Amino acid sequence: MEKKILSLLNENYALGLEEQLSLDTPLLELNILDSSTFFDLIEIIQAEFGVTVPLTEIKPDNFASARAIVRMTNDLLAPSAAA
Amino acid sequence: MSDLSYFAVIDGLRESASRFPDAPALLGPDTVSYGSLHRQACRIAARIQQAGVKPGARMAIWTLKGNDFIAAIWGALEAGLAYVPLDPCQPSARAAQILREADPEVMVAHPDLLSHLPGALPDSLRLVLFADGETTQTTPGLPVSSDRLGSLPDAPHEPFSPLPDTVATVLFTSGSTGVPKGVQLSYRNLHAFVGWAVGEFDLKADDVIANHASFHFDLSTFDLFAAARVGAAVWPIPTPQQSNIAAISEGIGRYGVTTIYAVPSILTMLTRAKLLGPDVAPSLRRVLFAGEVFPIFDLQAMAAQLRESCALYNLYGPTETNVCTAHRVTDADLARDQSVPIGRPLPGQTAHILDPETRLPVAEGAKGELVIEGSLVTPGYLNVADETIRTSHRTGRHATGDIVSSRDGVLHYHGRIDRIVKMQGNRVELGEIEAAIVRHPAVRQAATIHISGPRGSDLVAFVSCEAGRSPPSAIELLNHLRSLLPRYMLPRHFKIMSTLPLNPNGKIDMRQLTRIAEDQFLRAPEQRRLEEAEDA
Repeated sequence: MEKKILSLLNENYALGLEEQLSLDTPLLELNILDSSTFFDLIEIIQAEFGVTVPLTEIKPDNFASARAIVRMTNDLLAPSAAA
Repeated sequence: MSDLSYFAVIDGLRESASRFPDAPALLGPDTVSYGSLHRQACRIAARIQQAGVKPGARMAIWTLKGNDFIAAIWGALEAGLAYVPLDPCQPSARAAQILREADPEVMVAHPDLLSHLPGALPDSLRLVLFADGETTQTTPGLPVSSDRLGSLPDAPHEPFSPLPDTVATVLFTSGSTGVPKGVQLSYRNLHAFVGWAVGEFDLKADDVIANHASFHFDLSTFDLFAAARVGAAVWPIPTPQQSNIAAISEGIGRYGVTTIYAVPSILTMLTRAKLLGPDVAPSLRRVLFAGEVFPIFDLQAMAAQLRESCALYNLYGPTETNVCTAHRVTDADLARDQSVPIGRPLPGQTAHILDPETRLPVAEGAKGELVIEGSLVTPGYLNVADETIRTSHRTGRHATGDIVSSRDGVLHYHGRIDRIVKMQGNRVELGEIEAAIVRHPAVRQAATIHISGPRGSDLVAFVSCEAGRSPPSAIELLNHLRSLLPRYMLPRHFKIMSTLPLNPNGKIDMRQLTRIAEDQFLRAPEQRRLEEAEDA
């Protein structure tokens, strides 16, 4: 999951230099993700992992870094575990 | 007053407080009535006058968006001060730059923000009022008198009566040399816009306006002053919720928002999450947008989602004219796959379209630079001596730098003649970004290019390094820029070059860089995935 999300991010939001984004790169603070790209990423995650990201999960905390996205996606994949 | 039709925006609050003292002025977790908002403004004005600060001085406001910020704005106006709103989300180094330019005598500040201010407070400062009650931290050794905004006593004050040319606010926008520049807005300017808006949109006391824009952004003058003029309620969307669409949608429903005025990027996010339909936003009657071109496919999607009777308006104008042209979007506009017009000049304004070289009017339908003349044109910049800026803006006349054409008096926008772009509705001077990049010790030269394509627009920075220095990584450059620039000004892509290409005149070849940037970075993610699928 971590590898997959990082590669999706690196593929779609590459900064243009040789380096790769890391799990803790602050995506929102560095403007790597912004309001115009936010929903593209949600669509990519939904298609890739077969989950629906509900409105309540579309909040900055869940997209602050690749690690946060991984955590959210894992939670969405196993919703009943928490119940 | 000689001009009988003139109405000062501060009188909007005074009249609404006396006509509807118990009606809500501000909605949110702590609802504030018009009577109570005006009383707090009067307490602030009394404290300002006690400190010996005279009308005509400036008050900087640097706190989170919310009720305190709004009370501070009205308090400044009640005492005859011009308010200078600072973006609470910008780096403190940039706020310090603006404070140096603004020379405020009074400051309303969040203690946490103030404690991060690099360097000394401005020498001009005579009074600091701390916003946000629950914070107990104060700046030790503050060299001027201070008080808490939340615990000011009732005290008499002299209500200020502004003249049309009195400056009401100074809004700082991006400046090409790296220093933000302050646009002064007079009471005359605000009156011309608010008077038109109240009539055109038929605003009433039972309207509820969602205030999305931050107060340093000229869109907010509608939310603040048109609402007070008619006694309507405002829901100021708090700073942490401005990009949280679930919270915005929840507020639209809970407070019964009838009117929202925002930049297209926010409206598009709400549309994509299906949050603007009659089921979730049942009371929405007007959607106003400004600040950047609304991509037509996104606008069509929004219009399809909204209730059919909802009015859509495209409002246009640089900060130097506030809103100077407007267009009500029609079904015919939406049926065409091209950007909607920016419309006709507001009453009392004249639009000239001039050839950028000869400065003569162009023929009907031809493109030229839009020059606006009339009561909306602001009195000028604070402390600006630069000749080119002065000549593009004379009292009553502003050369916008925007290329437009006119068909039957309706104006269409075609882009810029200079290096100013819009990012998320904010004006960005590409030169300000370059000036920040070259402050990195390893960087020799930088050029920023704006590209726009199907997934919106991006900034690309080209960087060359000092001899013998190893090139910084993109993350390192972003971390460097983060302390100097607001988030919306951070480039999306970086490219290191050994030297930047020059044109025959010896200047950086922006055309070549634009081609490189478009080739390399202007591809929608969907398209990229598609190509990979074909390769597989």
